[in-house]
Amino acid sequence: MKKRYIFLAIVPIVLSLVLAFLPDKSNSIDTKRNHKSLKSAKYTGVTPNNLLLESVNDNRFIQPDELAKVIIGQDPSYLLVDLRDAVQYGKFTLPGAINIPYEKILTEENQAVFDSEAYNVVLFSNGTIVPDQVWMILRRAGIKNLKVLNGGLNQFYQLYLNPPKPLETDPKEAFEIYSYRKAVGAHLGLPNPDEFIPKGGENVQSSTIATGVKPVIKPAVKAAPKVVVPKKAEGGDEGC
Amino acid sequence: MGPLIPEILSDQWNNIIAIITGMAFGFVLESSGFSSSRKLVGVFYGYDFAVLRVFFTAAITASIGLLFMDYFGWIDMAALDGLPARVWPIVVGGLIMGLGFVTGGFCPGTCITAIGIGKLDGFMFFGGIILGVFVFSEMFPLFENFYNSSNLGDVTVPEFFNINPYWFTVGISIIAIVAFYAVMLIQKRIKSVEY
Repeated sequence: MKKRYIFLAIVPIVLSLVLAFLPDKSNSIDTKRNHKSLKSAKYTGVTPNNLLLESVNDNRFIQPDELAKVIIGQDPSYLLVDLRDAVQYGKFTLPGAINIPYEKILTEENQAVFDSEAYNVVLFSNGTIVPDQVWMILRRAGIKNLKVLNGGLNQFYQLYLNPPKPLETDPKEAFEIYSYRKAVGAHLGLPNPDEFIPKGGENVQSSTIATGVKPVIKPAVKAAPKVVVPKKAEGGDEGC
Repeated sequence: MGPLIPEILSDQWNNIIAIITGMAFGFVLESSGFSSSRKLVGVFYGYDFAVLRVFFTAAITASIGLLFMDYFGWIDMAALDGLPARVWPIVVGGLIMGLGFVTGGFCPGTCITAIGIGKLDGFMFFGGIILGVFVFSEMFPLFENFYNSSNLGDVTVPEFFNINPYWFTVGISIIAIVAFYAVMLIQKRIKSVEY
């Protein structure tokens, strides 16, 4: 018998023995999910690596301009979810949004709302922190099609109630975006910030986007210049 | 096909990888002489056991390779599909397949290889396959009950007998080597055939 054959016969046996003696890779959680009794990790939801990758890139965000298109076009493939409490929801929300306070996201009926293939769920609140936390929890639970409104309602307000006016030297696109945002604001009929914020104009902060640019106020809105972002009296949700 | 190296190759690559592996498979079949029906049926007459060696080697290489890739997280074994184990229909189907193999001299894959190099018997065999598929499909309602009987579901042997898949692979490797040695002894006793 040729030496080559003996060598080739030994190779698979040695390799399979190595496999049998490899240390067990699965930890206790994996072992429970490990129906096929293999050594590698088995996850039904998103893997930790992927969750980390998703959390550091911006793909989960929907930009205010995209959301404005969705609202104006009444796109049925998007479901807007307001994560603030019922009081704030009652005062103002985006058109077509439903209210699920962030404490209640894990109840059974709300899970059914999130876990639907039929539409993209847009999470929003006053800022981005609460929607981001909710996104993380729901994503870990394996729910797909989640979007987070970038900048939250604060920036949404700022963009459409008081859009940053482009400079004269800016390209033509900047002017188009500017007029588009003004038109969106008019279409949405956004309420006056003075009426919306409990303490009126005192309790607002200056625009972060319109820095150095003189803001233009729509005639219908009688707000003080550069005063757009509602600042929450209670803690829990920061602005952009 | 499962998600091979999911972080690097996305699902869209599945068909491309399938085509490349398919071409490689056909090339290896042809280069190991599997386009010759006389070489293939040698396993039944005892003068050439290349079929047994090649397919048994392929089986243990694939199982060891898959288990290693699964261990390193390159492929998710749980995502791989298996055909449901229908015990008696598989026995009957295997007998029919074996009968066709020994009389026709090809199995479905090798007959395509034979067509690739222009063999007439390969074309005839392929026509037979199409005819058989047609007859089977038309008559399917007659034996549909039997076809679906004794279904154990999507199980593997280690799962069914609840043994460690890694030690099972060790066992299969040893059986393969013993089988290779045994057929080598048989082949020495049989008068060699020129083909």
